[in-house]
Amino acid sequence: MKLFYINNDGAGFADHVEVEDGITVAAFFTEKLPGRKADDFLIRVNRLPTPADQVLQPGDRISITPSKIEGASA
Amino acid sequence: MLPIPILLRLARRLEMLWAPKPDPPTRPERAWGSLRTQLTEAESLRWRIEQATARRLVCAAASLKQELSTLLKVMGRRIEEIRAHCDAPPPRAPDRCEWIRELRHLESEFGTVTVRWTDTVIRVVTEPIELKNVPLGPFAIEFNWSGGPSASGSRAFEVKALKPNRPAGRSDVTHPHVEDDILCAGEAKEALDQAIADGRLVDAFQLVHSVLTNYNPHSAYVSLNEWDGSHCAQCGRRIRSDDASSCEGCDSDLCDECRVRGTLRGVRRTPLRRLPRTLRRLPGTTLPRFARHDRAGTSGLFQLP
Repeated sequence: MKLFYINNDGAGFADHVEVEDGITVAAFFTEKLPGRKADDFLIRVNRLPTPADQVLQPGDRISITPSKIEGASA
Repeated sequence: MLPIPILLRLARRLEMLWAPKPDPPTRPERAWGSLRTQLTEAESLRWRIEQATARRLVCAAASLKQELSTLLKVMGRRIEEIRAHCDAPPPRAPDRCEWIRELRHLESEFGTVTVRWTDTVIRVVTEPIELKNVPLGPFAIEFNWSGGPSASGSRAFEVKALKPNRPAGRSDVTHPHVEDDILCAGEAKEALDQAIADGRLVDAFQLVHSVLTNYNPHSAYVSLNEWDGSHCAQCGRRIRSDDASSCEGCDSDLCDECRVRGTLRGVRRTPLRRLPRTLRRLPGTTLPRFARHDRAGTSGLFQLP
């Protein structure tokens, strides 16, 4: 199935991605950002906060935004 | 919640600004220009090769053929570049419905959203922020939409402290990563630019918020360890308010090291800028960087030429 995936980590991008049917939010996160902690990110599905075990549906919009980003000086 | 007429008006305005500009397939201009120049060059080389071959100049012909081959390779790459540009899907901007969803989502994430039409600003307010036990107060995050999708992330946003707790001696800094109300987004810079370019307003605001709620000690305008400090009048080093001592002569703050040094020598020092102008410009004298003065604060040692 196809999802609209927005990744705000690194350079940031938004695109449609193909994933297996019945994938949960947690599994999707692990697949896309291996080795990262979900606690360090704001995850929204169709613009709403979501539980980790929620099963994604075709056409869902999932956005992952890091909540711990280091700023800089100039 | 934003009233519906304002929401619609704002969505319409943003939709217009983010609408992709018609981009003719003749772009990119530079690639076309350089291809034209290279084609002329290639034709000239071909003519020279023919001339060299007719005159049986074998070495010259071989060298020219080599040159032409390299040039054709470069032209091939240029053609690929132009072809890729022609094949690229047209940029897609959010439509009005998406903008409405985006604005409603912004409200659900940050609470009240304010619109200032005259300044072309969308504003949200954060919760009070505290980093490493230093309370910095709430911040207003203001997005200026006038730059449209091409605006640089850091420049499109202003971050204003509503109850500023500024570090000692820096009235322009309100957060370790904010100077003159401009956020230095650091690691978030590219994602912020991309979010603005795509019209993902909520993501952009969340990225700014994420930077505000984190601290990078390796690249801060003012380190949080020195937030409550002041500058030593002697060596210029920033000192915490608890560690500062006062000079008996001029009431300036001194760090421990300079205070001890001063006590041992029985003198206090005052930076040159603190001396009266007349003393700084005595004819025929040169002043050391710091002029000494005694405990009573009377000016003392000058270096005579």
